[in-house]
Amino acid sequence: MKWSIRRPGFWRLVFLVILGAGLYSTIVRFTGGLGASTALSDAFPWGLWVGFDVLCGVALAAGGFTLSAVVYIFNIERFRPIVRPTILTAFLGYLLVIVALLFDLGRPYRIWHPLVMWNPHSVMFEVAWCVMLYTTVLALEFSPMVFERLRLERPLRILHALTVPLVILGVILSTLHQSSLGSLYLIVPEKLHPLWYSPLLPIFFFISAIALGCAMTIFESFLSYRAFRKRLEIALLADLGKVIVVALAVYLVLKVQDLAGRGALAQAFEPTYEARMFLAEMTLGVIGPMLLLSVRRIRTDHFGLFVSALLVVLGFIMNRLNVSITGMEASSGVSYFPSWTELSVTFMIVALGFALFGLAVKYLPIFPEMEREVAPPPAVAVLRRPWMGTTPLVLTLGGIFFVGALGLAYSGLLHRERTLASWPRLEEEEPNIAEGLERLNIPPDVTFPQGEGSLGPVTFRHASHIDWERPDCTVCHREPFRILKIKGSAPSPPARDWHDARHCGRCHDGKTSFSAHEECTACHQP
Amino acid sequence: MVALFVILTIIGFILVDSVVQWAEARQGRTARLPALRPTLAFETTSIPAGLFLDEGHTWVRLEPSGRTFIGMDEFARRAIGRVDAVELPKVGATVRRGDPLFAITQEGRRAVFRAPLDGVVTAVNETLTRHPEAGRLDPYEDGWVCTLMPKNLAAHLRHLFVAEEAQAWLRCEIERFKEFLTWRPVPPAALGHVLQDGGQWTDGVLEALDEASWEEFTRTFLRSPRPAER
Repeated sequence: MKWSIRRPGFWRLVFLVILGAGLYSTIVRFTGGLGASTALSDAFPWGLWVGFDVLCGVALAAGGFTLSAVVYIFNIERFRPIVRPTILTAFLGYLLVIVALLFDLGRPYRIWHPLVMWNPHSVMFEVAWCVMLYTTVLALEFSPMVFERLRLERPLRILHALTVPLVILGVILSTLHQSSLGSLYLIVPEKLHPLWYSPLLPIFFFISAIALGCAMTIFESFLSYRAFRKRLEIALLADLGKVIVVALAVYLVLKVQDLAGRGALAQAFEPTYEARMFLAEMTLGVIGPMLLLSVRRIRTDHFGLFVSALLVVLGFIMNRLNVSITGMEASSGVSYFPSWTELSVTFMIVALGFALFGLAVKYLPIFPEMEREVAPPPAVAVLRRPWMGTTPLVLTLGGIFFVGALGLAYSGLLHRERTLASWPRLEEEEPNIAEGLERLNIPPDVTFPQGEGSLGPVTFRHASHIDWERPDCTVCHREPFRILKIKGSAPSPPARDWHDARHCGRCHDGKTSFSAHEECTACHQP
Repeated sequence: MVALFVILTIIGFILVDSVVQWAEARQGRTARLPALRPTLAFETTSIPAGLFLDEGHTWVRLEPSGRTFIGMDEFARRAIGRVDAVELPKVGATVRRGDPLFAITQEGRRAVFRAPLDGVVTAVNETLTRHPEAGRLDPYEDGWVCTLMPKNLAAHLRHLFVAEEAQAWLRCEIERFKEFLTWRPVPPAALGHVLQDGGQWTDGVLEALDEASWEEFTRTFLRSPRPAER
């Protein structure tokens, strides 16, 4: 392992500690199950692994589709030198998302089920297929780097011919996927806080993914620079900065419009836990970097770009965690904080990502010319100095936004207990029976055909099986009679004995109602 | 709460990393690669055609008023490279051709430039005291050191090179400088070992050379007065 020349002792040690803790937690997870290894519960089933590892992992991999669309579809060739590192990040990101899913799924060995057991009505089905297909596309997009290293000409030629269709497919799939992660939360309008719940959630997830993709490209360029002294394409990255400003502006306008349209705008300024976290997220990820990147001097400066990209990344990590955790806390009625085993698994997955990225950059032709940073020409004295150096300017502005966001989030924590308790509980509402009866829509009678040796056909009347005082379908349609598959009005002949305790016999036992085995003609009417 | 925790964790890692980088830089453990410098082919550079060059590598620009601007020429500028300080002459001082006029220092060693003309110093470029590197990109404009009100101008101008003569002389100086370098122990980082194959010397090659070479350079190229004569 010679690759640590540039990253000596300290981080390697940290990596080993994280890996050790993560492996221990992995063993606990797969021997003891989710209950033993996580702080998750039935009331709060999606925690850090979904909120951070999956949602943030996918969002942070968005650079892959953004950049490849820019270069291959919009044909802006200037950006070609930074496509490969972003594809690598996206590929690693998706692989690690799948690893995280294997941890989070209760029965991970069934992860292949959506392949054959289709349920096209489920958002989860769309998510599953997008992950599978897009990972495949990313693997194909990534493979030329491996083939070039191994000098395999034939597969390279084939892939080269396939590039454009692959890229188009990849862009479509990942557009679907980024937004479908937002669609996941469309099905919980009564659980997700109105500051985040919106019919536009898929669109918000998609637009923010574009901003985030560009920011991640900038951020990882700096990581490569830090680790390998790779040359920084400052001019290109500054242009990405412009794209971020536009994407964030669109996001901001839509967000405000959406809040105002749903009448939730006022809630953002109430002294509640969620409102403060929401404002913190917007300050950190949207308003701060938008202002910073609008200044040309900051956008074209190493440090300025880094800080702005970092703000975007942190802001949208916060956004995804707010949607998946903060916004759901109040309705769940439980207080969730990840257990240390959950944390260590997440740490391990992120650390693995860093290590794999490092290995790939070291051994594969990721950066086209493998050039080291060329020292800029020695500084020539500037005769007209600006009123403030760029670095202090970035530190001041970035610091203001960052500290502001932290302050907001902290003040949110102060309101946490009170806010969480004030969520309206559905159970507390008294059922309005009179209104329910008016609306009660009883299914038609069902006639079962006469079987062999039967006294006569049976007609089941829903109307005579209802407690009119407190009508409740779930008394039967939970356990004894699941919703029966009846096509038309003629049910198929019974494949089982209807008289037993799992069907009619459940209630017709001679105690609750007359016995199904004694009073035959009560039901069978010749 | 979880969101805040995650954000703070990431910031924590970045801060720890900055401390690690800082500590490594302090211990000198980050084996920084020798930074490559852009090399410009010296042969292709030219001097403004209306300038006079002195064999001590200063330039002279005549103003219609009779005042003359004086500075260090591009050859000297690029051979020396980094300049830590410029010692300016005193305004009002009277100098004779061949006297020390101004000097530059680099890491404690000094190079003295001769006056190309007789005259009285009427102004000095104060910018150079605050920003000694100011003339780096344009030694013939921003790099002026002082102005002289000359005496015996007509007589002394005959000793200076101008136009085609100046170009030809500069070419000879460059060849002579290459020869000079081949006799010097040049560290590989300064690309000395490819000079014989037709390579170029880098800007500031003297930064990498030893004291003896520096002395030799000031004596044979700048024609500085020997220390005893100062």
